Amino acid sequence: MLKTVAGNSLQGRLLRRIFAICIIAIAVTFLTVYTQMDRSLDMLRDRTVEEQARDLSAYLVPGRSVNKAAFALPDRIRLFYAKAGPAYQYLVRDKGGQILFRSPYAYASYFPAVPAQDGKFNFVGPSGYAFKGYALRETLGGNDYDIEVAQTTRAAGMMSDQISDSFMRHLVWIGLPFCLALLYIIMSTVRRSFGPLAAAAREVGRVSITAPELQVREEELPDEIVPFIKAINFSFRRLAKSLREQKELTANLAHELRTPLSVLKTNIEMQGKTPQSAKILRDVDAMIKLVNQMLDMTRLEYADTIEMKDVDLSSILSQVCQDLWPLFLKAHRELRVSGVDAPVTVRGDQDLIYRAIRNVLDNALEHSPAKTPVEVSLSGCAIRVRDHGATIPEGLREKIFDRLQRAPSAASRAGAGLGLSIVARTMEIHGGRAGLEPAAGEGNVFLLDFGTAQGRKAAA
Amino acid sequence: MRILLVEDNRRLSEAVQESLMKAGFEVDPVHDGDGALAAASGQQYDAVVLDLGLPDMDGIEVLKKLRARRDTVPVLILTARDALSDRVDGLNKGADDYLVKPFETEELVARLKAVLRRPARALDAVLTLNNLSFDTISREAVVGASRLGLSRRETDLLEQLIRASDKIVTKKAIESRLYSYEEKGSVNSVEVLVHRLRKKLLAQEAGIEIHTLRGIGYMMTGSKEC
Repeated sequence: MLKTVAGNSLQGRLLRRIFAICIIAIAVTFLTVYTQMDRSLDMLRDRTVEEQARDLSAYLVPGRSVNKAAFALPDRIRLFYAKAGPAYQYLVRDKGGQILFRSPYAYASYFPAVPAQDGKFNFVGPSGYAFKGYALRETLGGNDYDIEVAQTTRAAGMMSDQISDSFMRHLVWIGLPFCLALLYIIMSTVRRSFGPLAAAAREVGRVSITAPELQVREEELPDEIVPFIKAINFSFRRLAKSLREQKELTANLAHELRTPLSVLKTNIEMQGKTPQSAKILRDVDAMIKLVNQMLDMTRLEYADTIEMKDVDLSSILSQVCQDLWPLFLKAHRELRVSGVDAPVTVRGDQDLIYRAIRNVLDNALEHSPAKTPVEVSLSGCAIRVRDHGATIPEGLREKIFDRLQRAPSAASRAGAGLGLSIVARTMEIHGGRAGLEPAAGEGNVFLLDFGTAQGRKAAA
Repeated sequence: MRILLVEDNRRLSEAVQESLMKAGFEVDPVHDGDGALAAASGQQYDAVVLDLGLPDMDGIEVLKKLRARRDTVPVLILTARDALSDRVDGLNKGADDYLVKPFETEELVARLKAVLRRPARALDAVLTLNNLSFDTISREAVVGASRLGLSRRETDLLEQLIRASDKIVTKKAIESRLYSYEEKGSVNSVEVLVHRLRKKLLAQEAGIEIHTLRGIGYMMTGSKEC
């Protein structure tokens, strides 16, 4: 199975990128709005001071003397400037730069003596406030006068600043939920869009090597991944085909090998019983056994393709005993079975289990001395086969399940080692284990324990 | 006894034919499924020996077609497939017995005789095994000229065993046939019954053995000497 590399999820990657883009976009929007508003406010202030200057210029009137203008401010305006303190200031200079009139709190020394061409000026007052000003040139009776007006940019109680502050505050309060809602919508949209992909992934997982004939449905999938699924379906089809062919080949091989052996055996039997023919028959039997075991081995090579089902261990064991019993009768050995009355369900392949048990029983029969019984028992998910043959020394108990290992006493018998390695491999596939347990007295107890993996499952 | 032998391998077919003829059967060999079906419809055979791996169709198909036209001829399947599931499948589809290649000719003859002993048709009312014959209608077991004098249950047991001779009859099957639910308490009753039947058969020299597969069941065979 593929392991998911952390951070390699397409959905995650997409979400992270969209989130980043959204956050950047929102930040840029905020910044733009903020600076744009600042600039608008700035222009507004510029206009305000300019308007003030024009308003004030209307009150500059010719004085009693020809060269001296008078400043006829109405009380209302004069009072305003007096009350406003340093926040709003004005002064009027004549051409020589001499201050003719001023508001009570004007920072006269900060005002430009000679105004710039466009009239605009800025300064920072003594208490650190920034001021914005405008100078208006007015000609009256042939003389030029400069009417200069200044106001702080951050004057408390200034309408425009209040508006901007509350606007920004509201923007944050509205913006935050808006952002969260946006992120949520993006997330659920992406998730939903990726839904078919996840479903397809699940389905591909379901279509495994054990069921390669299944196909992933292509109809409901997004166009982008249809080519992938088509490719997967194609390889599943090919896999299923080649598995089918392999299985058929194995079955045919069995047929091809067994039929000529049957012919051989029947023909030898027809020669009548002679010591010579009995010897040849024994060799043929050994060969048949070897062929059978090689076929078993071949089947086990495809263990991946085995479909595990619920099978009744008890009835399989019973069947093996019934099938092998005639051989026991012929060899004058007794076979005793216990524990097969109630069904015992395990997950597995009944043919493989059947062969494994048969191999162990074959082995027990082969190594049993005359007049001794072979005892087979099923308890829980464990099958025990006890014979009364030569005890296998402790050092050999593990080795005996290795391929091509044989008990010393059976060195001349073909196939015994292969048989037990088939048993061991079968048990491995079923999550169980094959082993030898110490027996009381002479003999061996072969254990086929399906319980190690399956008992826990049943208990759960 | 006329046997239809369906086997595509000519050499095996010849060898089997020869050994069956030695054992006293008449044998008609055919080599494919169509041939088998044609032969079986033209002649009433006593048994069919059917190989599963045929060139034109699966042997199971032949069996299914035979059974579909209500042919109850006993069928013994011969196959190179030894998977338990294949065998169960074959028996479920109506085969009477199953022999895995390579087999011993002796075994084939014995199984064939066992299959032929089973009354497929109601007319075959008397079952015989060695010196023992059992009349399924009068329910009398006779060895030679003398009656065995069996109890009702012993007779039922004998019938079950002789019908399945050379095959195992499980203790469970015997129990469910012989005892009603209330009577199942006594565990050893089947053993006792078998013991008594065995003694009576031995006393009359019926040439019959009842083998015990302890923990599973019993099998009735004819003794080798007879």
